[in-house]
Amino acid sequence: MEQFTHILLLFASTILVNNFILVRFLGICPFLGVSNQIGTAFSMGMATTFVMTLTGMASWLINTYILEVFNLQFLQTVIFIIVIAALVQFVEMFIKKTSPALYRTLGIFLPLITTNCAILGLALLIPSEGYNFIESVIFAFAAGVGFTLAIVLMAGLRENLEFADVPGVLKGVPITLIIAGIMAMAFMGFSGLISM
Amino acid sequence: MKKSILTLTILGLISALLLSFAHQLLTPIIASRQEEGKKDIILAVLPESNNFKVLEKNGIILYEGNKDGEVAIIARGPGFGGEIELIVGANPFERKVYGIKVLSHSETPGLGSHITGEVFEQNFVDKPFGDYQVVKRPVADLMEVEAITGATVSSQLVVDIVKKAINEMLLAYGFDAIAITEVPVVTGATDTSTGATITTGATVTTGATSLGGGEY
Amino acid sequence: MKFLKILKNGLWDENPTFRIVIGMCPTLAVTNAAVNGLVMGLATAFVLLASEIIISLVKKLIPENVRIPSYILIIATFVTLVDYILKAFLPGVASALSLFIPLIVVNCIILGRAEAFASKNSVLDSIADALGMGLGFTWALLLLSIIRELLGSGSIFGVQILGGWYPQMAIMLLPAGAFISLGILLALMNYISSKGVK
Repeated sequence: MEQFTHILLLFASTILVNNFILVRFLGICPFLGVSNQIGTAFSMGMATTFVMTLTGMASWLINTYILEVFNLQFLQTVIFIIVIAALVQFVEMFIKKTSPALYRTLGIFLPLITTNCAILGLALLIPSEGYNFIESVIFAFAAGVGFTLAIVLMAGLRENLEFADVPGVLKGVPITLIIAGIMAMAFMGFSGLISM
Repeated sequence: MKKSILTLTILGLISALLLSFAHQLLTPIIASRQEEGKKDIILAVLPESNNFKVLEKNGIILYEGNKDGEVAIIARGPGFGGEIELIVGANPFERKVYGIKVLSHSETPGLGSHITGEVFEQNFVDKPFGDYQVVKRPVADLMEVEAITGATVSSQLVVDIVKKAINEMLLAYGFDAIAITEVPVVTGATDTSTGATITTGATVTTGATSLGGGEY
Repeated sequence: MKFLKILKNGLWDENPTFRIVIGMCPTLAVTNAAVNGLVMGLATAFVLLASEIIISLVKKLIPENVRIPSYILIIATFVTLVDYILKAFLPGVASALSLFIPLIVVNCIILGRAEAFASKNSVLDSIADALGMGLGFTWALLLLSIIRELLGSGSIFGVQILGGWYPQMAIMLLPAGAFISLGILLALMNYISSKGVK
């Protein structure tokens, strides 16, 4: 029961208290780039969550069975990024073969995910926080959910923004950043909610 | 295809070689930096010592300064935003605290984060051992600690850790612990290992050895 | 002079932060203190320079289909080197920047320039591009972090400028402040360049 509560709290705190985008600053590029429509934002979020969960597992496995066993921590960054690039390639091929429909919605976003700092950030956070396997998977999945939440919220706001009269200099990225700032302020309200 | 694999393998090998060379070269430097940083922090809370030795008494790690009676101990406990780790420099024989330094915390920036500030730390300079009470006004006597404006909870939690650390030190040297009141502080934070709301009296671990992170 | 033209491009015309708006993660995360912004900018510039030089040198040797993984491998190697060097010689800043040093690997600026420029140009031109983009990124970070540190802590590079009278705007040091300051700064840059057009 204790373990379950702990997992549940890890899940909730990663989505809200330590939201990857609005608190940890990871994944800003796609956040600014792909958040102008709710549909695309959601698809990007789903694709990212999928890759993140796999990466979380891979990160733990590689760290535990390879890096620590052979004392190769100095190769951590290099190995992780290669694995992520390879993972994304395989996921793309896999989706293309098994579900062309899914590929049409998600497919284009997948190559972009390789350079999403949230993925590598996740991979690096797992060994540094010292999570066990289950915790790593939940953490990775929750990170993806939090990412999706933030990006979809932003997309919703930006869709409404289309009808507003935004001053010239603020159009595009500036106003999005200011909105993100206000969202970040709102998310600050979650701090202290869960103490890990 | 063959050329592709060859290219990647060669690159991989060069990379691994280069990095392992850098690792060998720089790790000792990194380690000695951490040692120095650690030394500086410990000496910061021991006024007249310029050296110290690490001891273990009853399973608790203590840093005994070369000036008689000066001892430092590291303690960790729950804070408002996350764990707080601090070091207390004191004299268990003269029963007084020389000072404290907060080593790490996750308190609210601009509010609770002032626990690392000089003004708050001043509360603990040359302070006799006792059951300190946190007050929201300038202190009237040495048993009081002035809270940080807007961060009463962080202040209380730090004081709790300090009191417990003092007791651990006293016990390590064979003295009796002092009686301390436990002020129930409901922070709304939940201790994830028990699912219960944190009140002071939650576990404070002492003798923690982590100073200067990094694992290279 | 072509070298200077390419240099200027990175510093202003196609400034990665203010014009192309890439490499946002570190821009927002590490600019809470001027020294952090400066070191991050220079670290990134170093990786960019080293990577562009190597990639430009070996561009003919790398088969087309493993281009991207090869570039990533080269970049990741330099990033790890920089990580070690910072930990050894600037431990305070290294721990403030923590996660974001390794994340230089996925900084779109580096892979972007490697792909768009270094793989197609001479070594000398690549050096110019790397210096321009790298220093362009650095001054952008420096500007943002000076603003945030000044408003948030009343200091610049740790030197207290605004005295006790100043109510430090802690929000500037937090994520929210980062987003908003960058947004306003970008709007200002837009304004300045639109004025120039007239």
